[in-house]
Formats: sequence, C-alpha cells, structure tokens
Amino acid sequence: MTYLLIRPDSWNFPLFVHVAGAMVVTAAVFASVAVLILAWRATGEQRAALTRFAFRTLLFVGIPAWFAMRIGAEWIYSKEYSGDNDPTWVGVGYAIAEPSGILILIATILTWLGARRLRGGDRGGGLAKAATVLATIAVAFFIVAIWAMTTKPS
Amino acid sequence: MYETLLFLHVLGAFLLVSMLGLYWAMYAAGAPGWIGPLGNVAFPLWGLGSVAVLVFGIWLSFDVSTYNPWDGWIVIAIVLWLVQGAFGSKLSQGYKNLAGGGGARPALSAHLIASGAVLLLLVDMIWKPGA
Repeated sequence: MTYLLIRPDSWNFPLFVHVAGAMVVTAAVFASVAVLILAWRATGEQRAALTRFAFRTLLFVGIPAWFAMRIGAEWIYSKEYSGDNDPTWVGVGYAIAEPSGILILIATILTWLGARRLRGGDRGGGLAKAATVLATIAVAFFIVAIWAMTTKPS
Repeated sequence: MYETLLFLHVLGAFLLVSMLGLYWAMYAAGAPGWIGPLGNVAFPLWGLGSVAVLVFGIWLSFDVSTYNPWDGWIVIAIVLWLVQGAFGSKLSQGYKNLAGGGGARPALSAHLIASGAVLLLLVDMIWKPGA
C-alpha cells in the first residue's frame, strides 16, 4: 500500500495544476448546468440573462480550467510514464479528457447562440436545453474520471 | 478499501468545490430571484461535500498505516476544513436570508476566505508538509 502514497516532490506541482484545473472545470460546468436548468423555467429577459450567464461561466471559467486540467495531466504523465505500458486508468483519463472538452466547447457555442436568439426575442431555448444535456454528460464523465484516478483500475 | 475511501473523499472535495462555484455564481449574478432555486441545490450539497471530505479523510488516516490523525499536515487540513466550514455556513445563511427577502448579499471576503481555505486544503493534500 505504501508505494501508492509516495511520489517525488517534483510531481507535486503538475499534480496540483491537474487537480485544481479538474476541480474548477467541474465546478464551472456544474454551475452552468444548474443555471441552465433554472433558465428552462424562466421567461423573457430573465431566461436570456440566465443563458448568457451560463455561457460566460463556460467560456471564462470552464474552458480555461479544462486546459489547466489537460496541461497538468500531460505534464505529470511525462514525468510518471514513458508512453509504453500505460495502466488502464491512464487510458480512461485520456478517453474522457478530450470528449469532455469537446462537449464543453459545443455547450459553450450552443449557449452563446441560445443567449443571442433569446435576447433578440427569437426562440433559443432549444439550443440552451441541448447545451444543458451536453454539459450534464460532461459532469458524468468527470465523475467517471475521478473514480478512475482514485481507484486506479489496472 | 483504501481506493474506495479515497474515491469518496475526493468526490466529496469535488462536490464541495462545485458548490463553492455555485456560491460564486450567486454572488456574481446578484439577482435575488436566482438565489432561491440555486440555493436549494447548493446548501444541502455543500453540507454533504463538507461532511464527506472530513469523514472519509479521517477514515483514510486510520486506514493507511503510514498516516495518523495527529500528523501535522492532517491537523492543518482539519483547521482549514473548519475555516471553510465556518465561512461556507456564513455564505449559506446569508444567501438563505437574501432568498427570503431579508439581509444583504454575503460579503466578497467570505467567498474569498472559504475558497482560499479550500485551495490551501488542496495544497496541503498534495504536498503533505511534514509527512
């Protein structure tokens, strides 16, 4: 057991960047989902304002934090593994990281388009609802990633 | 057992940070109409995340033979947890009052202190000073 708990000091900062980025991106996407669900029940200008708020949260917090998470992951991977014989949990991380980033990117674009249409009085609620679904899937991906990173299935 | 405890401990930490994110969203939104519904999600889940972090963290300190609950970095973590708990409670109470039509928006300093304590908790968990 003890070997799992000891790591060189030089790994700490990359790990910090990775975990902090992952926490912030999860928080940003979760907050966006909560605000977008609230927008479903709102009407008029309030609906547009909530959708705009979710868009800004994803754009200014979610996407930069995703990059911090991803850069931190690659940084610590380069220290810990050589590219051969990656354990399964590293593969799970890779399998989740890029798709979650694409989901966040598409959700950001949809909320932007939705907010623009709602502000103009046009129908944009459908786009915001689609963004909510994609962002919720991203949160589910993050939970799977947390499970893989902590239990490290081999 | 170790892996399960670590998963629940870290999941609690992610939940806690996500709810602090919702408090920041409530602060940035500044619209009392949003606070009630967002608060209905944030208040119980912030409490759940906080309790999970502490309970599974202490359980881990007993489960892992090289850790003890009185190790310096674990004591630091408990103190930081208390700080985030105190200011997180202040945020919960403040937003509950605001949603109920009374009181002012919780201060920026309360958000910063609660978030700063959680950030230091993460630093403490990764560097484990003295371990």
